[in-house]
Amino acid sequence: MGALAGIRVLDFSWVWSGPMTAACLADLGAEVIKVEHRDRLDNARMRGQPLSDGKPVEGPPEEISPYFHQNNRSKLSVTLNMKHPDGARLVRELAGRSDVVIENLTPGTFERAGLGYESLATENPRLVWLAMSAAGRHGPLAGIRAYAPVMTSLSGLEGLVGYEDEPAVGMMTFGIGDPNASSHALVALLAALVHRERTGEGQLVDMSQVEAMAAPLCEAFAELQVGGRDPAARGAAHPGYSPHGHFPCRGEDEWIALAVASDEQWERVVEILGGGALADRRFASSAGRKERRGELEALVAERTRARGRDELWERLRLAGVPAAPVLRLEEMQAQEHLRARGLFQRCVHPITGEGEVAGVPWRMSATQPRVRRAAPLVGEHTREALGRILGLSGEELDAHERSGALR
Amino acid sequence: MGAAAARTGPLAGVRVVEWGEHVSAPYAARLLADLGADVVKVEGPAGDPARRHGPFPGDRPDPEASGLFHALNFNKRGVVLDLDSPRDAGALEALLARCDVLLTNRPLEERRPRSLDGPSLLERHPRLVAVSVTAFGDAGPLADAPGCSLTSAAFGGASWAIGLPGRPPLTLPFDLADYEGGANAAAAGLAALLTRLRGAGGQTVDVAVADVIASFVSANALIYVNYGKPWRRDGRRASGSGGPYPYTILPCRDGYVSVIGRSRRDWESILEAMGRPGWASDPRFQNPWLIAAEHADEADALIVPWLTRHTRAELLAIARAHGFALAPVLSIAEVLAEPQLRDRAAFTDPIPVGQGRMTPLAFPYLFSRTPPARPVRGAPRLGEHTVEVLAEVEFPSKV
Repeated sequence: MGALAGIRVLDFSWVWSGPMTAACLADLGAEVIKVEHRDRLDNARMRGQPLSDGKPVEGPPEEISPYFHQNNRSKLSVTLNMKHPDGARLVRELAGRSDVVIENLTPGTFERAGLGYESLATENPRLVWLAMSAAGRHGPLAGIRAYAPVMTSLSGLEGLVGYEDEPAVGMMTFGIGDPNASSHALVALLAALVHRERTGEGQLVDMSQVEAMAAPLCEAFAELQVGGRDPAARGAAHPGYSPHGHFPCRGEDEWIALAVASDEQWERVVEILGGGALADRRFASSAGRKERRGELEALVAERTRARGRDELWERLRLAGVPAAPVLRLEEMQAQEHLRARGLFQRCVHPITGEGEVAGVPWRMSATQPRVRRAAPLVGEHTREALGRILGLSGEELDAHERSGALR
Repeated sequence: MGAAAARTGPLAGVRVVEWGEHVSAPYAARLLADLGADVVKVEGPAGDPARRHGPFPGDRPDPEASGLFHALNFNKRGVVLDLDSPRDAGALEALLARCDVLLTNRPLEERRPRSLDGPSLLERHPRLVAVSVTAFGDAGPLADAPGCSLTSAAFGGASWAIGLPGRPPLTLPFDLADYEGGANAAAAGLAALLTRLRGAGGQTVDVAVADVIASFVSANALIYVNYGKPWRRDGRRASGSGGPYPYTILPCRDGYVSVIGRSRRDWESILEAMGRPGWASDPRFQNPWLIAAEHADEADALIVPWLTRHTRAELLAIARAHGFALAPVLSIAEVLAEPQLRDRAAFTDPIPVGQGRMTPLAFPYLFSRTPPARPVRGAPRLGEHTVEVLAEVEFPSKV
């Protein structure tokens, strides 16, 4: 039995942060209806022709996007035209029978269609509405176009990524802004649902994705506000520990992440890396290692360069030293431990067939989240869901289709 | 002095015990405290090591004035328990008997001998939500392997794609991976609490930071590898521009900006904003997908001179006027001064940190019905609330 069985969610969100939040609720057992419009589809559906094993994937472009499949698994799809008066009325009626609305659209979009939170909440005071805009629903930056680099640049994150004493490099390949926003949004949304469970009261939760990206930069803000220093990038180093960073191993572009947090761990590392100059007394204490960080880490790198990455990792791990290989994507997805934890779940899609999606990364003993079904086709459940939830007959649905309300 | 009266927010009345150190569990617990939960932090006699991290006002080490400790532990009460003492272990039991959610990031090899692992706890406290957040998790071939934010980012496939090609990979900065683990632990704990409120019992929740990062990376990689771009580091530019050009950080007159174009129309808008330079009609620069695949460096070299004539603020205004996405790369000091954040009251009121103070950014969300209280309570001194909290759970104090 899913944790959220019996809860109905209307998901109006696009691309990644919003849909990921909604997909998590769906994996937890909620009925999540993605509300779409045929003339303006979530652009995660429209990313061009994907390849699988180097060969183009066949099928209608809007149905074969792996990125869409990942973030919209476990959901139903209903197409409704909010700009059509009948379509808007159907949205209003659906919301009246739903528990949660999730959206990450430009603030004002729903209000202009007469479907804003205040309006819908008068009929359904139990409704919890999660708005996940880029910068919030008001203020000088409200309405700014929300792309991951907007969040990560405005929050201070990009400026903190770089090699020591060099201009910032940023991390544009890995768009952490979206999944970070989703993780924090889930905290706020689930908290609102806890409140609702105890009191019957719904509410509007207005989250700024920029602020959600700044929130976990606690240490950087402390550096400025308490330490009086505007923090700069620090490579892969750590102010408290040395060695701490990525060290080269044998072969091309092979790296091990190593973090030595105590003198005991350092003694193990010295043994494993063959003693000699590393056993110097000046490195024995944490203070000594930090003071001589450059020299120390160069010595460590000399040693690690001669070792196989995975063999070295195994020895360090068994000796109780924090370490891990810097995994390539394919290695990570084939990793025995990650697979054993059930992270990658099988999914069969009617057009693209069998595939895998990454599920919710939590293991719950009683209500384990799991992928319920593949991502829906556009409007796959329009008639079924509207008929069931709103009690519409076949003729009524036909009429709505003819009028354009169900586009 | 009772804590319950001051807490407002959607989680008012929810009781949380945090037995954690450093980042992941403390951040998870603080997120719940921010929303009104009554959070008691359990430390050992030596205190959370974050008390020794700093930064300290005036650079003078002081376990009651560590910036990182304060940033992660405001809004909580704090008790000291020496779990090697049967009496204090009994006190923890009394706390757990009356709490809704336990958050911990202690290693399994420390929890299990004390019967404080998930399954053991659930046997004694069947309505408890017992959440652990660790580097590799409590189950699987690498269960309880030693790790930290650096190793989770590496193992989860993130670090591979951060940095300059030909240079060592970088990592998620300032232990960010552990914060993502903490946010997920908080969310998972709330999902389990909600389930219990809806009529079920308690349960155990096992969150691995490596899993969290791997799940983020797996989704993100689908933008790249399925379209012929590798998941790899490409410096200031996303790998292969992630599709159409541009998707990159570039220098301007007073720093850097991230410039984003996701369509032909976006590229046209950028060219418009630049006043349609002569090279805009060069066949190499018509199609943003072609530019990304073959001429990205050349295009960068043509755009940068224009960018370096403008400040970040000017470029943001130009981008908004022309309808393409661009954002200034802000330093932390600049984020603090950013009017949008001030406008939304995203910051708390100042809290004291020794002789200094800080104003944490704690409220990335506004709640229309149950706004969380602020000002907030500062971080606890070591053992500050031991007597008070034990009295609340009717456990005789050893004073």
